[in-house]
Amino acid sequence: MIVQTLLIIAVFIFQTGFPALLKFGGVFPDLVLAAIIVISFANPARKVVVPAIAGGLLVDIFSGMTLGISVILFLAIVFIINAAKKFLFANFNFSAILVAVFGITIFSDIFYFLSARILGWLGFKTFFVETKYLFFSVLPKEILYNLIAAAALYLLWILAKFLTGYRKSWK
Amino acid sequence: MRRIFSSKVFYLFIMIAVFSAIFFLDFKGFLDAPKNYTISFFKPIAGFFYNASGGGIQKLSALFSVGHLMEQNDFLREQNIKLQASLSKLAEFERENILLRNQAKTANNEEINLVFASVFGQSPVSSNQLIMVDKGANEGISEGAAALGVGNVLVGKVAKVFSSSAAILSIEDKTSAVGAISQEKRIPGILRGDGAGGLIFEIESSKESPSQGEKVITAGENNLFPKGFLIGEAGEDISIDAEALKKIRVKPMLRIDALEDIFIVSQ
Repeated sequence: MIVQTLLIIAVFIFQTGFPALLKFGGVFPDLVLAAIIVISFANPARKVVVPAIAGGLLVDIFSGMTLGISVILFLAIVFIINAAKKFLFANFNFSAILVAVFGITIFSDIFYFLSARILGWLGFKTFFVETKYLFFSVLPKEILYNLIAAAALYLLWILAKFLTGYRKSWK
Repeated sequence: MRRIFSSKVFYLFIMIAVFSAIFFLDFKGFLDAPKNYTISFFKPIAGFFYNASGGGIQKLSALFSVGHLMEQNDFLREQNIKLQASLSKLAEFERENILLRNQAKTANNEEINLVFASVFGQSPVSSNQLIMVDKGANEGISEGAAALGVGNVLVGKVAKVFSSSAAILSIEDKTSAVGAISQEKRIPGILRGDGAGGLIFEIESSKESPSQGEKVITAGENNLFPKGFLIGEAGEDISIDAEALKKIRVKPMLRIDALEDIFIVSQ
C-alpha cells in the first residue's frame, strides 16, 4: 500500500511539475487517473483505497476544486474496477486496461462536470467549464492522451515486475 | 443490529456523511490550514521539477530550430534598432511628461505595488488552467488581482488565495473573461481564452475591427486590476455574420505554460 501511495504521489508531482512537457493543444493526460486505473487492475481494492484518497486530495487541492470531489471519483473507480475484475475481465490483459481507461475518462469528465454544476448551485466556488468545449474539445484529446499514458504506465509496471521478480499478482 | 453495521448500505451512509462534512468544512474555510500545509510541503519539489521542465523545453526547442536561427538573428537585429529608436523617443516623452506634471503640480497616485512570485506548478486537470505561485495572503495578495509576466504583460487573474500560495486563472483558460481595449482605435470588448493557448477578443458587431498587429490592453476593473497592461496583438477576424459579437483572434505576448516568475498586483 505504501509503494502504491508513493507511486501516485510521484505521478502527481510529475503531472503538476511538467505541464509544458505534457500539454498538447491545451490538454494534458490525466496521469493520476491513469495510474489509479493501472494500480487498481494490478492490486486488490483494499490496497488501492489509501492511494486513491491521497491522489484525490492532492488533485483537489492543486486544481482549486472542492475538497473531496476527486476522492469520491477515484474511490468509485477503484470499486468499479474491482467489480469489473470479478464479472467482466476474467483474464487481465492490456486491452482490458485500454477499455477501462476509455470508459473511465468519459465517466470522470461527466462526473467533474456534474459535480461542478451541482456545487455551483449550492453556492460553492467552482470553475465552470463550457459543456461544448469540455465534451467536444477536451474529452477526445484527453481520451487519446490517457490511453497513451495508461499504456506507458502498464509497460513500466510489467518492466518493474520483470526486473524485481515480483510474482504476486491478480488472478 | 450486527447485520445493520456490517451491511454495505451502512458503509455507504457513513461515506456520504463523511464527504458531506468535508464539503461543509471546506465551504466554511475550516480546511484552509491543512490545504496550506499540503501545498507548502509539495511546493519545493513541484517547483524544482517545474523549473527543470521549463529549461528542458527551451533546450529542446532550440535543438529543433537551429535552421531558423540565422533568419531570426537578422530579424531581431532589425527589431533591436527599431526598439532603440522607440526608446529614445520614449525618453523624450518621459522628460516632457515630468515637466508637464511638475508644472500642473499633480502627484502620481497610480503607483502600483507588485509582489514577485515564483511558479511551482499548474493545475493537474485539463478542464482548468490554474497556475500555482508561492506567494499568498501573507504577502498581500487578494482574489481578482492582475498577474503579470515579464514587461507587465497580463497572464491571468488571482482565482484563489491561501496564506502562502495562490492559484492564478490563466487568461487562456476557457472560463477567463477580461475587460480589454485596443490601444490605437480604442475599441472596447471582452477578451476570452479559447482553452488552447489563444485568446478571442469579443466586440460589438457595429464597431470597427482593430487592425492586425494592434496591441490589446486591459481596460481596467479596479485598483487590483488596473488599466493599460499589455495582453496581446490583434490577429484575424474569425466572426460569423450571424453572430451578435465580432470575434477577433488575439495572440498572447507570452507563453503562459512556460512561465517561471510572475508579478501580482497587491493592495
